[in-house]
Amino acid sequence: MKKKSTALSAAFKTAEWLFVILFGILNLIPIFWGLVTSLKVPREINAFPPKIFGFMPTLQHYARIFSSGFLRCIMNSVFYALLAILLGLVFGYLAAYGFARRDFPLKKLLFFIVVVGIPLSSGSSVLLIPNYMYLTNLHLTNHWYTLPVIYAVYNLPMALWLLIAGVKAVPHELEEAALIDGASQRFIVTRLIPPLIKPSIAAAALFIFIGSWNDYITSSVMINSVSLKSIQMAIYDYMGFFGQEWGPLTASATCAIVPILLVFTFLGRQLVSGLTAGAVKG
Amino acid sequence: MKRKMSQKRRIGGLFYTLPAMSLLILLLIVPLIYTIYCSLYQFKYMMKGNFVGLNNFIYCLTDDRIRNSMITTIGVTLAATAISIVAGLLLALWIDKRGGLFAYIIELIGLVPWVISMVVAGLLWRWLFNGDLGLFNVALRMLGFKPIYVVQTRIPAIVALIFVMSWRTIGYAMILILAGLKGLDHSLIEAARVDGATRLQTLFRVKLPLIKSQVLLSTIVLTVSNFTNNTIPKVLTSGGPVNATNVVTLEQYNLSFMYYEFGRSSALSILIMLATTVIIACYIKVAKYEI
Amino acid sequence: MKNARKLLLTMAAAGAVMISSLALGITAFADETITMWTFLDPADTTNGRSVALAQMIEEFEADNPGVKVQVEPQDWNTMTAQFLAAHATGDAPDLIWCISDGLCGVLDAGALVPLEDLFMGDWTEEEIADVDDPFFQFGERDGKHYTLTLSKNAVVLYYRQDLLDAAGLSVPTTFDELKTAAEALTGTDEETGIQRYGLGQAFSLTSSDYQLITNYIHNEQGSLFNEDGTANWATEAGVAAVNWTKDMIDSGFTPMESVNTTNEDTITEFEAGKYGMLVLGAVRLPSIRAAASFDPASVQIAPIPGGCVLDGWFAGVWSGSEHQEMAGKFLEKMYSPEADKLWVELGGQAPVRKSTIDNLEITDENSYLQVMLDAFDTGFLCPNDMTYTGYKVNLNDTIQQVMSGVDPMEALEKTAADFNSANNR
Repeated sequence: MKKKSTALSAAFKTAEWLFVILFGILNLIPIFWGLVTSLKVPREINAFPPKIFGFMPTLQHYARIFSSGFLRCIMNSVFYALLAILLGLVFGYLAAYGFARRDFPLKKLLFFIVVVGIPLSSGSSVLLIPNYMYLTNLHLTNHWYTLPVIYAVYNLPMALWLLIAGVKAVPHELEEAALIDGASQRFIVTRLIPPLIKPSIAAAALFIFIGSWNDYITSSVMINSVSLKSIQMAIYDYMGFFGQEWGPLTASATCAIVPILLVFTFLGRQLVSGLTAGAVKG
Repeated sequence: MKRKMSQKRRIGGLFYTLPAMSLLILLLIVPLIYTIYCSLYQFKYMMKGNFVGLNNFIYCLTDDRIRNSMITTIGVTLAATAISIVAGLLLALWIDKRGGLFAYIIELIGLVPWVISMVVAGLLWRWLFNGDLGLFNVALRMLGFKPIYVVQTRIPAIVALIFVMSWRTIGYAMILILAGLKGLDHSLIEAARVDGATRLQTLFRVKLPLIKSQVLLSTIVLTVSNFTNNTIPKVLTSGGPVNATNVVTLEQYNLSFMYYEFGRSSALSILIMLATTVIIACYIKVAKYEI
Repeated sequence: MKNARKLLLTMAAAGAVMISSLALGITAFADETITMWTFLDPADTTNGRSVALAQMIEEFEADNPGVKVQVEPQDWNTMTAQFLAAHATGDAPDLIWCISDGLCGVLDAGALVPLEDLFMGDWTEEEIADVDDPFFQFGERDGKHYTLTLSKNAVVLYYRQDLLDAAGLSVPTTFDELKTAAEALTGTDEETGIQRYGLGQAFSLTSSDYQLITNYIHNEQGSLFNEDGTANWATEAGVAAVNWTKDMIDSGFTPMESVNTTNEDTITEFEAGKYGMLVLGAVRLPSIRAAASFDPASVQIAPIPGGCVLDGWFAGVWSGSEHQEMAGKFLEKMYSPEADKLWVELGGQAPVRKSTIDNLEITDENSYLQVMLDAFDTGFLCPNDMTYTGYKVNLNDTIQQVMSGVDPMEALEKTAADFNSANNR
């Protein structure tokens, strides 16, 4: 009987890892192909039959993108994303606390606005031209703060929703106990709750980061100055009027993934089992 | 005394939401109102023309291409979202239990499709599906099968579009739902276990209701994101063959950037927003979510 | 909590550093700054045209102390629409390169100044004659000229000399010869084993001009449009063009997959050796030669039977600009005989002035320029008296429908109706 169950669990383990491999292949194959392409010389990129191994690797495309201001665009995008996270988390958390813990006039209406905000922001490309005309009329386009503010707002409904769920999951009794102990309301909002909802904060931050990092359409319209260019705009440069240049295109797209994976490893600790050591519930 | 206190707390609640709400209203709601205004006028080449009432809406609703594209969009969106949510939920439940390095690997793998530049991912998939040069068909040929001209044949093109859309967002759903699972109060689950609930019962009666909020949010976000996704359909299947994958955002893009019919494109934007809002309202109703 | 605070502090610090660096990065003071939207980035040293533009800017700034030319590179697809939106808000660039499809709308919107009001008023008749051609007339309205055409382009026939030589054929000059040549070039490539098709075309709805229907109809009946601007392709010539194309696909000289192939696909595939000939814009020649997986010297271009479809970028000065004089001056500079030479020599672009053409030395290296010049002489631009948006997409749509079994005439009538409705006719 016992033998059977260990055999079963071994089979299960194997199946599990097989699944991981399959999942990995399915998920990573375009990225893998992009990486391979970025290491080929132009003449070999389109050669038939396509080669996965056995070509002369070259870093020429990477050299080219970094010599044409790619680093600057990365820095810009990092700045946009961090500022958007800061704005989004502070405003989002305060509002989330209000929504989760208080009853106030117009609450239903305001939450309705948050809900409607999701299609308005995720679907921002649909409202692109009105937004552009509106912001240009206010002279708010093409500044260093343009994109961070827009990204913060576009990701706010989603962050807000996540944080509301986080705050709601914190037991009321904790707050009441703190009040009885003489803690101020300020202490509760700024010190007590945030550590308890770390996973939600981390997830919201991650989503805001990715939302800002991956945006092309908004930045391409709202930003005209070369010095304010975002990373996705730099990637699009290689599919311009004179055609797609597979080499630098895949090289820049590959480089653009790296910072996100770093951020994920940093923020993701809150989300990954094992690394949090089960200490979530403060 | 108590009443006075609660009055103060009520106004306090409004105060917490004020900064976020004013930003949302200024940068999302006002442009929406502006768009509605534009949709009532003739706006060829961004030049405000005559007031046309609902004519722009009538044009969008009666044009065969646009109407068909709406239907295609709804089908593709619901299919891709359903796949992402179910797969994301299963993955999240699984790695939540499994933990450790294993979980980390799955999360990282799941994250990558969603963080790579959407246009590059779309182009690379298109290349992989290419009839003669793509790895997919090279592999099929090596295995002795006939090549499938994915992007050029009706059903495979639709399947490919749904596949790539859900491929992109499974990781999103997974991580969002995982964030909910991580925030769960484990004592509740243990209590259920002690009460003799089976695993399935704990899952359906305790876990899922507790992460309803996250599942609902990811469903909403992914529905909207797939519905309004212009990039993937444009680069992957470019609407073809014979409009099989012609989604509404492609029509909307053409109205603004090819025909410069800004009034009509605003009207279509409003219709897209309405459609997504209705879908969201249905979700919220079904999930019985309350604020 | 400590961590969260640390994170906030780090972010605030990073923000402060970035803001100060951005503030420092703001351009040095100039008395007059003119901005220009184009798809070229003068900072890009790998593209000859960008290098040429950068040199023009440098010379212009040296000749006009205190003036700065600021190029804001844009996505070429959306640039004209964004310019129109910017014009409507009253905050647009001083100089703009318009896409040909959008120019009529730009002129309707009154977004450009007549060049006669700027520098062209001083031009002599000879000077005007030097630039007067169909492209110049394309930007004409009510007797005034609003644009100068940069980066002229023609959709031509790419072919591989080595394959034609091996088949003992010369470059096709009629549609019948084209079919014969396509048949001869179809087969398995001996070196790589790739299945090769005679003629590459692209019928995806995002590509335009990469098929021969337009040329065929134009060759048979003249314009594709009626006097009133409605579509005029549900005709005998239209059916003949569609049938010719269908025949090419049915015979396997153009692959069946081309129904939803984009021009970028066909370029990638041509570079891999999948096609013997390809329909494509002439400006792509240098990049194709650079990436071809076979002998790049064998890639040549020729005019398409019946005349090439022409295109270009139409540069003008914004009517709301506060720097119209200076912007006009720079536009004139970009079109000067010296600049024309730079565009040709550094950018590999076809010359725009007759005087440059007369002095052009054609060698083996730049023989393609002669082909382009011939194409300009015999080709045709879409009319510009009103908008003719989307007709290329409509024609591609026709082929997609016909290949899925719809009767040619029926498909043509349907797409003609689509065109008329979208253009309000």
